[in-house]
Amino acid sequence: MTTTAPAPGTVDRPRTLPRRLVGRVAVAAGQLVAVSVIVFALTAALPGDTAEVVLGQQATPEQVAALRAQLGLDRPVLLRFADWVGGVLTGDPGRSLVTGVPVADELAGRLASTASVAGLALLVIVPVALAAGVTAGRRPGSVTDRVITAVATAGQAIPEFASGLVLVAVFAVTLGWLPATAGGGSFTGPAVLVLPVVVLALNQVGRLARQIRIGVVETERAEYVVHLRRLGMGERTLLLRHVLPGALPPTVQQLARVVDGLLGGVVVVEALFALPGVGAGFVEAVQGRDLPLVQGYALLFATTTVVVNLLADLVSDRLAPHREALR
Amino acid sequence: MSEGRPTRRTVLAGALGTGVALGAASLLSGCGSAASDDRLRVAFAGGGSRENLDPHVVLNYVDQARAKACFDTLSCWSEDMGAVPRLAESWEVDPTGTRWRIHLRDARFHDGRPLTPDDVLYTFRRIADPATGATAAKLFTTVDLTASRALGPRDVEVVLTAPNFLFPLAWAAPGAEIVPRGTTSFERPVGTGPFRWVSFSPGGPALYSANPDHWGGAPPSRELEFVPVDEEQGRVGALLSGQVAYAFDLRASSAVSLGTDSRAKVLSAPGSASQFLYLRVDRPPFVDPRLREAVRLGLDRQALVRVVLLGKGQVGNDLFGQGAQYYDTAPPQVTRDVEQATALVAQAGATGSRIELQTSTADPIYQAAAGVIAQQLGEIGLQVVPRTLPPDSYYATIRSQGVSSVSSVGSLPLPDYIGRRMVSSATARNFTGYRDPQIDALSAAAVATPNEADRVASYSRAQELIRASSGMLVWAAADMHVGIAADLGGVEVARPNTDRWARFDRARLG
Amino acid sequence: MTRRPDATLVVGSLLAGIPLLAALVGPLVAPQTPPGTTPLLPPGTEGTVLGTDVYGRDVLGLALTGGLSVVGLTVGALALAYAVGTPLGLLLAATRRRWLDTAGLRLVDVALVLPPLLVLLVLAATGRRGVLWLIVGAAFVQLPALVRLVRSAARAPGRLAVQEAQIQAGEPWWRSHLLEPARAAVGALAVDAGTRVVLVVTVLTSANFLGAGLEPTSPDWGVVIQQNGDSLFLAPETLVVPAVLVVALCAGTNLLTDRLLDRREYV
Repeated sequence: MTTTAPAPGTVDRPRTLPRRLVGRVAVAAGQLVAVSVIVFALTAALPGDTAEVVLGQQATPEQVAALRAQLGLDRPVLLRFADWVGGVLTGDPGRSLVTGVPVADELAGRLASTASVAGLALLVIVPVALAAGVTAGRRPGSVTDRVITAVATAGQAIPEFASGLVLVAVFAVTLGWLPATAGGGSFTGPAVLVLPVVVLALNQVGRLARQIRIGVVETERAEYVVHLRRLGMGERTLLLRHVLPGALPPTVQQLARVVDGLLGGVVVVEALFALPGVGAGFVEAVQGRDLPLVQGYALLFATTTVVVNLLADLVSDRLAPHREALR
Repeated sequence: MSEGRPTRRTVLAGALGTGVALGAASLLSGCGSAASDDRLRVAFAGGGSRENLDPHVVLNYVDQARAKACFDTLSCWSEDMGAVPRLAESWEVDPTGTRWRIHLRDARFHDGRPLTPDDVLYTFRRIADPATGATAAKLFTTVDLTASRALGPRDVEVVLTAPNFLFPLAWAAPGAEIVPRGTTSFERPVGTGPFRWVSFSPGGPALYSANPDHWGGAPPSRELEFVPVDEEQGRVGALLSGQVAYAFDLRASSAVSLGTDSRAKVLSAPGSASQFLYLRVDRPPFVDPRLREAVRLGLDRQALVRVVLLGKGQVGNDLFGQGAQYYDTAPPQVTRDVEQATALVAQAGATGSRIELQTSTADPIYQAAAGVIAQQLGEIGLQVVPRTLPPDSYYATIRSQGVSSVSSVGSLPLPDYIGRRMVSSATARNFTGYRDPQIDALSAAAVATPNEADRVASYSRAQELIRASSGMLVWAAADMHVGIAADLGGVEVARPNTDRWARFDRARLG
Repeated sequence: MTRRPDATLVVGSLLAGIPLLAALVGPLVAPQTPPGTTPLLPPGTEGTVLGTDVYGRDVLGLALTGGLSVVGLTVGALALAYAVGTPLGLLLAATRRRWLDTAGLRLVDVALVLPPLLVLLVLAATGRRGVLWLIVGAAFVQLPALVRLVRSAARAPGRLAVQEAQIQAGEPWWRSHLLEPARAAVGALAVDAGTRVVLVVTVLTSANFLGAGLEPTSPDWGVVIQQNGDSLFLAPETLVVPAVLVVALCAGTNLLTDRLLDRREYV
């Protein structure tokens, strides 16, 4: 995370957008391959396998061996990896070893939960961070700036499980206004999502607001802004036309990190509120040594990261055509 | 059943948007009183996406609780772990202990079919079939399925290949629920139980509706929903905020704090989980009996109960099953003797030796216990170093590796505990390497005799042997805590696995 | 610039200083709870000032001993991340081969794409628990952002002109391409380190929460908060002290960093 504005990469020869896109996609594909290999190796290195985990401690060695054979776990690791790669290339990421449910279905079900939490959190985070960051950044050093910075910092500093417990204690247990848990899908509807979204927002707003503030402070000091103000341009126009666009490119990069983090599963918040999201699913897949599922999650997270960052770069590019994005 | 219970399984549930109407309804109850609709919500730690509703494969407490809602067993365990009738109205055995005549209750399955002897025989066959992987399989291996037969529409004769005068105990074991004959799939389970299946998603909620035709009368709660909340803090929060009316398995610290809160009550079932310190008798250093005796005398059980269990438990006497039938009360309570323990350590030449104690996050008690045990044994000259192992493979690891470990075992009848866990064929749950053919013989003799006095003598002798040389020290029998809403009635204090535990057919809010 | 004492600076120093002092000096003066003390004693009973927690430990003692691991782990993880990330970033910035720069950056990005939780869970599941592995895990997660930061700081347009001049003057390659850019990047890195403290603390506490971190009986502030989480509903005092200390440490460091950042801009 850079806290300074991205350096204008003047050394790079400008290339056309389509060419750059093709390059980016090729690189992304390479990254996905690397991630699947690493994740497969890491998961295969874990002690125990699905057969042992599924059957539990009461199982006899014969039962374990039988299930192992049935699931194909007795075959060499490399062969299983090759099978999996073949499946993915033909559009079939396989089935969960534990439940037999197709990996794609399992991911889709959980992604729906995660996406709604992430979407709502963004709806809160972006406007609040923009308002706070711009307000603070336009008068650096003022009391308003200090208060906003202090609150943003404190929000960032509280571990999610601590703020989550405090919010549950206050708003669910003491006041009884909001539900304390989603109960693994037992409780649905918007109210269930309020506390998880607030916990996430508390944590992320500060990060984004601080970046916006820095961007605004720097743009305000830029010569052209000073000049335009001297020429008598209205504050409103100045802010909307010049200051904000100047502050946005680094902000978009920071926003990409926030979005990526939210979509990659917010394991702590999901565990605390018993939300059936991808973070919790991923942890369960690792615990169950469910290789196809673990791989599915890893690919999902990797793809999200790549796509979100690509989008962020494209947006930064458009916002600041005179700069080449960080890539 | 507490061994191997995963603590942090999280769950699969369908897409979140299952309808705004449903959401609004559950929100209402979430914010206001849990009684605002007629649905009783109960929170358990979930079993993750590998869950299914097969009542014969019950890996976690929540599996058992769901099976109890939908199905019935022939008998049940009472609080002192004897057999009491349920679907079996009465039973009698011939003098050889191999022919059991069971008279069935007039009960009907949820689809209207009456309960018949064929259903019982089919159930026994399915449990005994190794392909099922049934939890109670071992208890039904002596059933002679070709000789067993129906005697009438509600009478069945079960023939055994070996005498077993305690056979009714087996009918009550977790995972011995009677299913309709021919059942192979439990996607839409049909049982005789007080609640009918409505919906279920593995790792997610399970919804049941009251069975108005239940032989015991219609349950007062119109609906019963099992809510999976893996984090204990989440269960406490859900209970105090009124989202659920029943929260199973709370930590002792929560039980203490909830005791002062007007919104909830705590039901603490005494002697529910025997807390073990396992010492491997087949490996150095604990192959030396002097060192095992030193550890036995070096433990300060009172302090362990006070600190680790916050006083919510009974001091153990190195025997499983306090408060249960056949529990041997003869041995005097072992008390701490630092001087003698130190001397024994010195005699064994082990003063200052480093011993690894395996522990895990599988149960919050384990790590606290390991810490206190290490400190207490330090005072007798042993350098005990706790080592934390990952929960998902903990029991498999301590079965094969290490020299000492902490663990716990839930409530079981002593004949079941000895017959399924202490005999030399029970390899899967042998954590100390203890094997003694005398135990096998005593266990077989105890179930084969019609004479109760002989049986008591056999079990006493077996417990004497186990206490002397198994390397299994029981430092406490911990309470099991359930938090319930202050206005929930019809739920009793009960040890896990017993008749009244997780029984919601009399539960009523308000 | 004014000379009057800077409020933010004072508040920041106080916020960060008190937990730091507790962490570094606390272990020397912390009250020892005798083993086997009754858990969950209310404050002021049985010779304790703040009572005891769920494991029967003096809460004041925990507050004074639990900071060392928080500070130590954070500093350790940051040091490791910078020790690895800085040279990597400088090398990427120094290379004239565009493909090498790109490839290096993408390689580092794999770490960004790799779920950090998987790394920590795998470490814990394979029995690699404890301080060193936590430091490695937390440092690894910071690496991609760091490498990018160093690289862009070393490539800043102002730097390029200086570099040209140095090359003209016949300076050796390592001086013009590694040492001088490193010196130029120090400021940005220092500021970054301040904000990164929060990220590292968050990763560490999340690891604890997921059972992949320190032992649950450790006096570490983060662990104490988590283990005593239940008491929040009814008797919050056990939890408040360590929680306030963690938050103060993070908030203070951040305030100071922001201030330094602003100062730098004014210079």
